[in-house]
Amino acid sequence: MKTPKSDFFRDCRRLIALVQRKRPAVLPAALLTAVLESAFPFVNIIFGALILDRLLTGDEGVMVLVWWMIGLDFALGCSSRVLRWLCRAEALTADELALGAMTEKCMTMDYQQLETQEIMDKKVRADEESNSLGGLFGFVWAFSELLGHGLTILYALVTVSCLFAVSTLPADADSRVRTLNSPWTALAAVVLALMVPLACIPLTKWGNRVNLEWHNHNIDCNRRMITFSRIINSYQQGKDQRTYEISEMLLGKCERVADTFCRHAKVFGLRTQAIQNLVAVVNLTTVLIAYLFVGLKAMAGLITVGMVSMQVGAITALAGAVREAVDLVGQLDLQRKYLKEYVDFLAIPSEKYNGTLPVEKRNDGDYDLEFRDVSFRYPNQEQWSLRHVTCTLPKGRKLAIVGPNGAGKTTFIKLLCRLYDPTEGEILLNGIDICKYDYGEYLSLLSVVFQDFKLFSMKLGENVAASVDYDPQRVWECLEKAGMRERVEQMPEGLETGLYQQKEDGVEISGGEAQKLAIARALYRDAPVVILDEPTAALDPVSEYEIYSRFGQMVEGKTSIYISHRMSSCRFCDLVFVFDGGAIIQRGAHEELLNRKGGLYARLWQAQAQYY
Amino acid sequence: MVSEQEGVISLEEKKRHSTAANVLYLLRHVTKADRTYLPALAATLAVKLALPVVATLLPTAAVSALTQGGSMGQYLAAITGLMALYALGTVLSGRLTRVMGLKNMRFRIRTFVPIQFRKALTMDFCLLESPEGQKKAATADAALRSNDVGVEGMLRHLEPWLLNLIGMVLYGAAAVRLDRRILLVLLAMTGANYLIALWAWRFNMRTKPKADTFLQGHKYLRREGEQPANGKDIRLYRMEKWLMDAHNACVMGRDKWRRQSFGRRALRSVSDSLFLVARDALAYAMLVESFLAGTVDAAGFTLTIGIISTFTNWLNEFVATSDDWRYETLEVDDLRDFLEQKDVLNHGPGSDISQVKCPPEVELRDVTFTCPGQERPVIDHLSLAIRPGEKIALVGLNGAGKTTLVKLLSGLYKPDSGKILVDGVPTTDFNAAEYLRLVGTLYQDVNILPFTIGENVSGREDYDHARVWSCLEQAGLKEAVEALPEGLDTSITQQLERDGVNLSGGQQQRLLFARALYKNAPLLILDEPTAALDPLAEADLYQKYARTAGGKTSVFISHRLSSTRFCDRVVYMEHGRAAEVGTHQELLEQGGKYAELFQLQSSYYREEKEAQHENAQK
Repeated sequence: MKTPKSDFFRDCRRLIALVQRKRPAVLPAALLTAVLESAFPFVNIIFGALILDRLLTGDEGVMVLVWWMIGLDFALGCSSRVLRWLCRAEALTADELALGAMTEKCMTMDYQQLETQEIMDKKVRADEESNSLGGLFGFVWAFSELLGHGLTILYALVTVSCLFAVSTLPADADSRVRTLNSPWTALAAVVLALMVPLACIPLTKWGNRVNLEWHNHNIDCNRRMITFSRIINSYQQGKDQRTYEISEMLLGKCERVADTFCRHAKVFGLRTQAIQNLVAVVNLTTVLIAYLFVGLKAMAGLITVGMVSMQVGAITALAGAVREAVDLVGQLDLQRKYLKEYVDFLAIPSEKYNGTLPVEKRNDGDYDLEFRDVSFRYPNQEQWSLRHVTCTLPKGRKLAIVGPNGAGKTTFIKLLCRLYDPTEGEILLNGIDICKYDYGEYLSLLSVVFQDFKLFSMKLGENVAASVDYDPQRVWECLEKAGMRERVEQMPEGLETGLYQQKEDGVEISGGEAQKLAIARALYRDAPVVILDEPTAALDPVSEYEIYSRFGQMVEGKTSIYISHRMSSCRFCDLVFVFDGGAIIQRGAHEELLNRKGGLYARLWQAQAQYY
Repeated sequence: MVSEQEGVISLEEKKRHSTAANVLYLLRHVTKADRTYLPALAATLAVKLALPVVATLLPTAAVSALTQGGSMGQYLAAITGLMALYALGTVLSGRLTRVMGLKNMRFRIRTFVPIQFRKALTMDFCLLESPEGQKKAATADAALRSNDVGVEGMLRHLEPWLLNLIGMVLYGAAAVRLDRRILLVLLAMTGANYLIALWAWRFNMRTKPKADTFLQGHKYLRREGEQPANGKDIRLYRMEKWLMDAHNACVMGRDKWRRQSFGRRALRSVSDSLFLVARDALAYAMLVESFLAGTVDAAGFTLTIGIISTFTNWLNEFVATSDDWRYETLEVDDLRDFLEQKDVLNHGPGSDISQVKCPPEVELRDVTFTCPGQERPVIDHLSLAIRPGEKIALVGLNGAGKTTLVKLLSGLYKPDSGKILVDGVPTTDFNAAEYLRLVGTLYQDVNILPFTIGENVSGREDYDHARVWSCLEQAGLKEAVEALPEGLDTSITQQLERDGVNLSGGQQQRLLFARALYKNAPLLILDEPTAALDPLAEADLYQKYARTAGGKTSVFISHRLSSTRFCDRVVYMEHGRAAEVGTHQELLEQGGKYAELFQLQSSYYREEKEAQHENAQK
């Protein structure tokens, strides 16, 4: 896969701009480090030679050179090493912020996109690949190293240019000496020395291919091992593993994956090593050429002994820098491809139409919500999840939604929240398609407790308010309404108590308590429409009763939707919708539906009521 | 705070192994697992020690040939010969290093990871489940996660550590022959290096726990923030700002710490550079003097400079490796800590499990159990006898101790006091693993492995297909599985296989039920298995459970009191005790807590009139 060079530079620029935005200090610091580090070896190469020559000529002033060398060594070595630590710190932080940007994207992209496999795959790839090559940090680092190698090449060429100086030879000079003295010979030697690393390019490419293949095998094995480790070390699953004697199967599977992993490592590892060895040995010929040419020149008396070590050092550094620069360009290109996944992920455009209409603020909750012939099909699915649903939410009253699993109840709510948009038909707010409203404003009308609601391992008060800033008074009121006040009062730090152990060193709460907190969160929002999806599944009869009896008070004057498998909940709702197969097949008050013998509602009711 | 103090004390009390002890511990394991490990190590060391000698000799030989007036032929021969030797050394060293790397990796993945896995799978569940156990499991896992940490990191650093140590001694000896003062500088450098490293390490140890909470924090927020299932709440409640602010705060907290920590490491670079100034000044001054006095020739000069700078390399690497070990030994300690946890259940030989009749009689006799780290017992002097083949409904409010009782009966916990007797034999008399075979439990939380359906039902890879099908049929899942292209070989979820399928909540319950059927244990326990099901599916599963429970002793837990109808007796639990025991009818007549609860729930289902009548009576 070839990409035009302009693409390469454009992507590089984009990525550098990205890094620059995250941590402006990384790039300058990395570049400065590269400049200092590339100069460092030349101090010894040049001064070492000068010192040796001065010594051989018996010059007393040699110590001046020594002090210069030591001083420069200190200045360059010390500053570049300290800078390198600074870079590393900056870059690690930049990386974490960059990964955070991906999280933020996940939180703000269309929900519909978040749920598609394709986009999640993209995310996993961006994640894995940017990690495997050191992320944005790796990119900046490679970039600055490239600059460093460029500088090394420059310094080395300047140093090597001494070799081109032509000595005036006595007339009777040997033809061999004449040849050695010619600048063309010097050119030939330098070109020859440079040919070596260039000749290695195909070898290096081969090595990279093998490495990539190995890496691809590894990704899969690693993923499996991590999954196994998570399963095996999880205590939730530990119960099942013990009761159902799953251990041996798990260990057997792990062993096979580990085996495959080790086999690949051996095959590919030894192969890449062989290639690396070959490259290393071929590259040694540069040093040999340098020694031979420069040494012979010195023997012919054309240059000094000190010059030998200087020139050998310079030629070796030159060839090394060329080799590494070539490698780096390849690596940069690879990194760019990987990081492109990251940039592309952040740039995924929203597909959802987002209107601009503000939502009229009303205190009387007079909002009409209406489904007009709405059909919906999840992306890439053939089956309709909702089909021709037409209904009006009863304003200011309590609506119960019941029906078998998979009847479309939760989908109905998701559409109402605009997590998905209808495939056909429209949903209207006060007669206007909800797409036309500003999404944020529209959402402020809804308080929802989803079946799989989520509380975070952060402070309890923040969880209720979904924000760092919260009104404690109001939080307490909502906790009270949700029947959680007493429990929270007993907690060590009240609203400041952390939840769970993952982030905060917090308290563990039961499923029922979590459900009450989720309800409190919905109440805190104080929206005119309240939706509760299976809020009592994990609750015992007394807590269930509390919620039931408080529900009326909680949603007073609001439009509310209550989804439950516990048919008893229909008793205190004004209206019931019965969903089946993606359609509303029955609607009416509880008594009315119950009297329709043989109807789904009556059957559902009977299935539960028979035991009481 | 009390808990914090406790944490500190336990950290200090924890017996830590020395670095040397941990290295030897790993060496003992690795030499047992891999007979060629030590020879390969020795060969690597030999080659890597010889290589720098050749590298130093190369310029020395060149200078020597040039200053002593040798012939071109001699020069060519010396340079080419040394280069050839160097090339050979490079190849050998590269190959041997890779071989050692492969050996170390293999050791981690094939020897130690299975040791950790096996421990996690067989250790007492209550140990694994406790917060401390979970922390230990996490750190043990982290010690095995990659090549450059914990077990493999420590082992990988063995070779450079030895190499640099030997190199330091050899080259140090060469340097001391030159002048003692140089050795003094080099030793002072080593000392300072060591002290600064120690200082940086102490700082790290002191501050790392806090810094790690930042790391955990932003990792947690990323993981949860990217979870599609959480996306709904995040959008509805506009949490992105809240969560991202918390994330960035964690990153910046970590950033601040990192600067302090890296700053200390950078200081080592500064100290190194300063000592290098002293070293070079001393070495050059002396050498120049000797040269001018004629006691050292140009070749000797080059060689000595080479030796001294190589010594510094050895030294730096040695200190760096020792520093790495300082961190790795803690990780290895974590792992050993996890592996050395003592079980409390009976893992030795036990009573003959085949003596247990089917269905068995189960008796709880004055059982008390307190969860680790809690004060109040969850199960408090509970006594209850379950007759062979009896179906018990266990009801009570959240937190009454039902799920703990399930774990006790399932053999995951051991009572603190009192006994659980199965056919008169205390459960602690049985071997723990054997006892587990007696009980088939459907736990409250659904845990399905990302493996195939057949493997999930049977818990093994070579299973009886006919039996799995028949269990699926009884659980009412046969048709759904038949409709899948791969049938029993279909994987669940895409975690491991890309073509895996997702099951609905109801299907998951049925799959777990099929698993219990496959196990066909004499004691059946069902912990709230229908919470997420619709009324029709619920009624259907009730019937299936009732049918399956025939011929078994069974315990059924549900918040839906209707489920008690197909049970022989109801046990109402409160504060870890069996507060009320009797048939449904008896308990209703008794008019206790159970009756109250039942009224509460059933009132919704009875006709309006009846409900009013009920209220009037009260």
